[in-house]
Amino acid sequence: MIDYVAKGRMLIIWVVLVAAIVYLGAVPFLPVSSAFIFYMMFWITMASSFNIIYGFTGYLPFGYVAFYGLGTYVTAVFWSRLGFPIPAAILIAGGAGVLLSLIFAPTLRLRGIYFAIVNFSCAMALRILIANLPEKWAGGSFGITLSAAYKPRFSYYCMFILMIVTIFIVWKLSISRLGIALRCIRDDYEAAEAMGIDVSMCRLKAWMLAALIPSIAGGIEAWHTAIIDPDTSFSMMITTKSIVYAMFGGLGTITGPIVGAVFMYILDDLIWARFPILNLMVLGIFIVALVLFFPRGIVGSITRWKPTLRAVLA
Amino acid sequence: MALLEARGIDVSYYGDIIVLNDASIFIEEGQVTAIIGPNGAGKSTLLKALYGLLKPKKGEIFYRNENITGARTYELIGKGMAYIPQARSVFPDLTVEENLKLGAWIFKRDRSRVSHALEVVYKRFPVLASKRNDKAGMLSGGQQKMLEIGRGLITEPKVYLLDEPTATLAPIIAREIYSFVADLRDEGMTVVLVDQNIRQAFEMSDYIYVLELGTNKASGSRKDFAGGLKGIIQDWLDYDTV
Ligand SMILES: Nc1ncnc2c1ncn2[C@@H]1O[C@H](COP(=O)(O)OP(=O)(O)OP(=O)(O)O)[C@@H](O)[C@H]1O
Ligand SMILES: [Mg+2]
Repeated sequence: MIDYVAKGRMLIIWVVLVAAIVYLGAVPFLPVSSAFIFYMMFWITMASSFNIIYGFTGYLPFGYVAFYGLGTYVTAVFWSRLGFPIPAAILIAGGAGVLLSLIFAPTLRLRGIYFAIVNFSCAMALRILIANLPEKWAGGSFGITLSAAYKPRFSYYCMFILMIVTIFIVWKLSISRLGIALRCIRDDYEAAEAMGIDVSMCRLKAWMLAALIPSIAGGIEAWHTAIIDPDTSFSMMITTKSIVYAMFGGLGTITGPIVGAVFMYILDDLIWARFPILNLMVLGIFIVALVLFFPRGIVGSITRWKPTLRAVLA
Repeated sequence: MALLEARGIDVSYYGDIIVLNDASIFIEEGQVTAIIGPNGAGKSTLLKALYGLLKPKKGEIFYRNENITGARTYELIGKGMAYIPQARSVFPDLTVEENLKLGAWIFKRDRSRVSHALEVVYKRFPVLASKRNDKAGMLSGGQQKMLEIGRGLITEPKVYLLDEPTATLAPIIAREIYSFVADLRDEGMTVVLVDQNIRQAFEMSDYIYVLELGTNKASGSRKDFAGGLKGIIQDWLDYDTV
C-alpha cells in the first residue's frame, strides 16, 4: 500500500522548498529589503556550516569567526591590492580558509572546552596579526573599502548560491559514509576506531569543509557591505550567532540550523527595533529561555515529540 | 609459525609514561592464547597495540612474518584481525543491523559483500537476525556482547582479539560466550583472550601469558602452569582482591 501521508508530506516539503527558492531568487526584483534577505541567507549558511563541525563532530570552535574574517580580508586584499576580479578573490578566500583550517588542524587533538578555548585564541591571534599588518596591505584599523566593486545584486545571488550549495553539502554529508563515520566518532570514537574508521582523517575533512564555507561567505559579505575592518571582521558576534542559531534550530539535523537562523534572525531584528537600548539583554534572556525549554533545539524537540517527522525534518 | 607476534614493545598513551615496557607475545595459529594479570597490568593496552590503535614507541609487531608495526587499524582488519574492546562498543542508538554494517566498514560500498557477510552472521546468531531492526541499546548485556562478537566476525577474521568478553555478564551467559569462543577455536580461528576469570582462561587456552606492570612475568602452556600457577599469580591475586 502506498503511504499517502508520507507522500503528502514529501509533496509539501518540495512545494515549500521550491517556493522558497523562487521567492529568494526573485527578491532583488521585489519591493522588499534585499539586504535583510541577504543577511538571512548569510546566517543560514553560517549556521549550517557550523553544524558540520559542531553537530557532526562535537568540536565547538569558539574561534569560528576566524574563517569568516580571513575570507573578508583575503577577498578585499586580492581585489583592492592585487587587482583580482571579485569572484576570483572570493574563491581564493575559500582556499585560504581551508589552508587556515590545516594550520589549526593540530588543535583537533584537543577535546571539549580545551579545543574551544585554543580555537578562540587562534582567532584572536589572527585578528591581531591582520590589524597590525602594514596599512598598505591590509588597511590597518581603518580597513579596506570595496565600494568600487559594489554590485549588490551580484553579491546577493552569490550568497543565494552559496546557501543552496551549503544546504546541499549538509544533506549529502548526512547520508554519506563520511557523515555516518562522523556521527559514530562523535558518539564513541574508540568504538569507531575499532571498526576501522580513520578517525583523524574524518575529523580533518569535516574541519576543512566547515572552514571553506564561512571563508567564502565572508568574501561575499565583504563584497556586499563594501567595507571591512578588523573589528567587524573578527567580531565575537559572528561566532556567537552561528552557535546560537544552529543550536536553537537543532544541531545534527539539516533543517535545524535553517529554521533556527530564520527564526532567530527575524526575532533579533524585531528586538533591535523594539528595544534599541536593551536589545542584547532581551536577546540573551530569550536565548537562555530557549536553551532551558528546548535543549535539543526546535527541530530536535519536534522530532523527539513526533519521531515520524524525522524523515522529513532531519 | 606465529600468526601474530610482538617483540619487546614499549607503548604509552601520553608523553613519557610507559604503560607497556618491553612486552612480548607470540601467538600460535589456531590456538587460544590467554593474557592474564592484575588490574592495570597493561593487558588491554597490549591488545590495542596489536590491533593498531596504539603505536609502539619501541619494538616491532609481526603478522604472518610481515612487519606491521605502526600499521593502521583498517589495514589490519583487511589482513584478518578483529577485536572487541573491554568497554561496551555497540552504538546504542543504531539498530542491530546498522551496528553490524559498521563492522563491515572496510568493505566500503561493496553492497553484495556486506549483505552476504550479514547473512553469515545472522545464520550464526539467530537472535541478532530476529532483532535486526531493534536499537542495539535495547538488547540485554549478553545480546550486546553477541552483537559485538558477530560484528567482529563480519570481516571473516583469522585472529580474534577479545578483551574480557564476559566481564560484566551473569555467569550463565558468560558460559555461553565461552562455549562460543571454543566453537570458534574448533573451527580453526586463532583467539587472543584477555580475562579476569583465571580459571576459565586456563581451561580455554593452549598458551598463557602473565603480564604484570607492563612486562612479561611468565608464560607457558597449560601444562607448564599446572603445578606452579598458584605461586606465580598468588601475589597479584592477593592485591587484586583487597
Ligand atoms: N586511555 C588511557 N589513557 C591513559 N592511561 C591509560 C589509558 N588506559 C589505560 N591507561 C593506563 O595504562 C595502564 C594499563 O592499563 P590497561 O587498561 O592496559 O590495564 P589492564 O591490564 O587491561 O587492566 P584491567 O584488568 O583493569 O582491564 C594503567 O596504569 C592505566 O591507568
Ligand atoms: Mg583491561
